[in-house]
Amino acid sequence: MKARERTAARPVDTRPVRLEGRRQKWTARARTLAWLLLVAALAVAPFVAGSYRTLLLTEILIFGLFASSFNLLFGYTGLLSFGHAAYFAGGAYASALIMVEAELPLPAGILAGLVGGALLAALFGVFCVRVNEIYFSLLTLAFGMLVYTVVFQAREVTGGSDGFNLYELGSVSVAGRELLLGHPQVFYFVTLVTVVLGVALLERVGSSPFGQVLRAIRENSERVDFLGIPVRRYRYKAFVIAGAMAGLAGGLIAPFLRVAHPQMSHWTTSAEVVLGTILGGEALFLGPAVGTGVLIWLESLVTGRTVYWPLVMGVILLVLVLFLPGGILGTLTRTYRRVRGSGR
Amino acid sequence: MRSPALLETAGLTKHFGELYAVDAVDLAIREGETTAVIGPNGAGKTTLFNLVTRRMRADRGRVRFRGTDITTATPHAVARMGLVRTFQVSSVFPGLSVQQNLLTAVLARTGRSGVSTQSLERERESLERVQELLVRLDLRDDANVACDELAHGTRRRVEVGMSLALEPRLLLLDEPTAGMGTSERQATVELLSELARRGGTTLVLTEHDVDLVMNFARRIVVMHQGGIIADGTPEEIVEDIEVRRAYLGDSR
Ligand SMILES: Nc1ncnc2c1ncn2[C@@H]1O[C@H](COP(=O)(O)OP(=O)(O)O)[C@@H](O)[C@H]1O
Ligand SMILES: [Mg+2]
Repeated sequence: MKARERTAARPVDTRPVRLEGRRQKWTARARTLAWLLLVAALAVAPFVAGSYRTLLLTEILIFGLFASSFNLLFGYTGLLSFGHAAYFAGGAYASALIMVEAELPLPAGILAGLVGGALLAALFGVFCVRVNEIYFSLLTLAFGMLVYTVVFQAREVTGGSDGFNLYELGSVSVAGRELLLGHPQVFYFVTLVTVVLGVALLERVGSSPFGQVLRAIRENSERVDFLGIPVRRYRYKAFVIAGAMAGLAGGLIAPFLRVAHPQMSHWTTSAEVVLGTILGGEALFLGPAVGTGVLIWLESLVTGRTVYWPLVMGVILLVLVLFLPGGILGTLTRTYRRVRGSGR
Repeated sequence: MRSPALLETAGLTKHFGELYAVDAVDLAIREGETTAVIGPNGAGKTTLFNLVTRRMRADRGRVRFRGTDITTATPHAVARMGLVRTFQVSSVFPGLSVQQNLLTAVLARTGRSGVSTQSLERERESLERVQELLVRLDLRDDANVACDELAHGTRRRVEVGMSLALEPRLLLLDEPTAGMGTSERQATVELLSELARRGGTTLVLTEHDVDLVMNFARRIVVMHQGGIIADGTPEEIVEDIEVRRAYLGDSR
């Protein structure tokens, strides 16, 4: 086989789509098995890890969903949003408000996050999907800053710079036992179930014919238009789904941190998933979640010991661009293919 | 009596500054009438296609397709009505495999691409249709190769394949054999002839090689400096002295 050079910016996507055959069924099964193993490992983790690690893992899961939602726009559709935190924060404030002002329980709060993110995306998306490339990035950034300014200024509703606090998450009774939802392990499982559902939804949508059209739009949107597919409408739908799933992540982050804070909508929060996605690799479904997870984990190691986190970030970026084109997962799969290829 | 026109332009005009790329063009294409638009570089052939398929906005004039005014329609609406085109510079999905390119077009045709959680692999009918197209266009060996790794001529065939997947009423091909080798060129012409014979799709193509279109087109339209200067059967065109001077002169 001839060697094919690829640049980091242009991932190859030549996964064969065959009619169902024996081989196909086997790979589909292997994929399902891998997912089950991952979920099983995550379900066992809090029993092995201590409270601190469980909390860290909860945050990683939440940001993993957030990053995966971002990648429906970036990796699939080719739209680089610089304001995806707006929908994350929208979800966070929606869940906090619903739980505190309407005194509804945690599940309602989480769902409110999804609805809040979706509504906000449905509103801003109307404008954002009309423009391309750098203009899309700038417009999403502008809407992100708008949200930041609004939550910062509307002190009576949002608590301004103090954030909007929630204290009680209540409890559920499982098999006759009262479980405090605020308990790290209990909240971890609430998060795990929600994130698995959200991520599975994103994966299914990405693997559907709709996802195929999104990939085609990323590659050549003019071609898609001239095939008779309304590109804008597809982008809009992707934008709203991504917003809804970012909102769902936000619906978890507020009860997790017991606060919805303006910082959640800040452009640096948007930048965190952009960086995490590139770190993990946007061409693979789990790339963004893995990359963002690694980033959060590194941040937890470094901030305890040094105030130079931004410097560490800079070094990570540099290493990435220079040595890991395609991100962590991209590099791993490339290496794996090379090793397997030469072993034959 | 002649059959009604599939496509009709009236006074269609586009200028870039002082330059009139397409100048008051009246053209009617009837169903089944394979037409070649010829003319020297810069004659306005591509611009004419761009105006008709709404890639560009016309400055003046109107376009009707199957009786409907499409002068201000969107490109995707025009394509959906059955007016499909290929581009002078192949327009494909470079980072996707040949199979995925064709599949996207098939999905566009069937409209089975709304938001769902249905796996692509279960789109049996669409995938079978892709297999047919791969065979028909002799693309089976490259089915899983990314389009930007294909030879120039192969990439062109992918684009033709995508267009065929749409089962268009009218297919505009902008220099379909440009950059192809002799045998590939012949194969493409055979494919297009077969398509024309089959009916259902009317073909209009632009071409540089006059000999190539002589045997193939039933009608030849000659453009020069944005206008139509001759229009007739291949035999009539050969007779046309003005054409000799404007175009054929330098190829004889
Ligand atoms: N987008 C454009 N901007 C400016 N001039 C253009 C543009 N497109 C085409 N032209 C000019 O219009 C004329 C006709 O071009 P074109 O339609 O591409 O001719 P053909 O396809 O017959 O070679 C040429 O002189 C070309 O330079
Ligand atoms: Mg041209």
